[in-house]
Amino acid sequence: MNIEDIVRSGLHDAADQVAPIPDLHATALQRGRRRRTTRRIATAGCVVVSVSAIIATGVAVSNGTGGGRHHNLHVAGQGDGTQQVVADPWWDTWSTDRYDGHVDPAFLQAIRPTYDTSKGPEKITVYAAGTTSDGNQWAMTTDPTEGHRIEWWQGRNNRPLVGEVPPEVDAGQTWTSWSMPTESAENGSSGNQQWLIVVGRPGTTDIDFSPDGATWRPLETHNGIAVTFFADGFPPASARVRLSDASGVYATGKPAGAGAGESPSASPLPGGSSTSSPTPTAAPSSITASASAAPPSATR
Amino acid sequence: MSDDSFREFVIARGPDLTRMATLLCRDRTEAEDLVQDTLASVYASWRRIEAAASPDAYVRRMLVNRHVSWWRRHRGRVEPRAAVPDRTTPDPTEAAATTDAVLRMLRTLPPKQRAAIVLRYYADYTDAQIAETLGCSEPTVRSQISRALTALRQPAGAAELGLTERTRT
Repeated sequence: MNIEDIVRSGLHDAADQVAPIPDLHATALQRGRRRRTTRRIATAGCVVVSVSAIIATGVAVSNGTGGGRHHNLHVAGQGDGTQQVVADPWWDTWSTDRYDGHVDPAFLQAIRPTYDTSKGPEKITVYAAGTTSDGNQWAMTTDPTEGHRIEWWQGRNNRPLVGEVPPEVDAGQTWTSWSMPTESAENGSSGNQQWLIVVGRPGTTDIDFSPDGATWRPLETHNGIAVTFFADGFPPASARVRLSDASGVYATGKPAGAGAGESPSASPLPGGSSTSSPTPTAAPSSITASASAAPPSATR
Repeated sequence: MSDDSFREFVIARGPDLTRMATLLCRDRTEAEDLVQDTLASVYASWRRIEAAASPDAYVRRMLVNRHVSWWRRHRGRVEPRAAVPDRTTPDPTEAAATTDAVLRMLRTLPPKQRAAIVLRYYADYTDAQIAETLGCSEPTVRSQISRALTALRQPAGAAELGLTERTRT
């Protein structure tokens, strides 16, 4: 036998010896209900910790209710979800159609859910989207029919990673951030490299990052969106971000870039930073159901 | 939310998901955790998944991607367990020894390579199906499988699998 035959027969033989998990349907139902309940409670509480996502990294918690405050980035060990929100009474006023880099409309089409195959994909609203320079596509959208306000998606080659349930985000937030792996996850290379994406409220002109809460480094910000790269993995537990308001003023009253009380000279991030092209695209802010639309990945 | 349809799905497809998880994971305990965790997420979005053209393929994809994600997040971590999982007792027969060797060698591979191997040689997926499941391109799938087989052909792997010089090629 050649190696392929050996592997094939070995896998099938091994699979034949696997005993089923007793009462799997009952325990799966129980755990699923518990998880759903937990998520709903978390969502209602305005401090959302996302469910685990394929990317998973730092969990951030709110540290204020208005733009311009400093926000802690918590890295809850390794392995929990990654979502951070701050209550924002103006959430409903967030504009749509903010982009960071080219966004392929096919990707946005692909993240539309389908609840009824005879009717086709549902309407979603795209608040922000982008593509990192290594080809990761991401989007922050709403899917009103699902009952949660905001979803984050990521993927590559116009294929969203539907292998994970997207995290839910509550209605009120001034900013949100998301971390996802680089292409190293795609090609199987070693190393834990992550993108950090921060989406500020519309009008946010400056987003700063601090690895230690003391020294700050401005992130290149386009349309209130900042993207940076961590060559050595997740942001540190001490990391923070701060955002300015539309006039470039932080909550402390100092103009952006003046450090707002801390040294504006940032300690450089491991691996430096990288942002993608700010060139916007003409993708629609609201994608409505259409018979001719490409089916969402959920139907694959 | 249809609990009945979810329950029926798990009863029908649970054993197959468990088999696949066992091939992907390092041990039975980890495989059970992977299946349970995946199904808990499936339940949370069951309405959407149920409406998909192929819920089975969708859930398999969730399982595989979750496995890759888990590995990335949990590698290097040591977690205490209430009980030590049973270890497989080596079988004296040659076939069983080869099966054990295949699993041992498989577990030395990076998660995406391992997933690609399992999908190709156990699930009999095409390159296109594997690419879709792993969210990568077909050339990437071929390169992942090629790299995995190359690793298995290395002297240590070849010795484990009982490959001769001729069959290593």
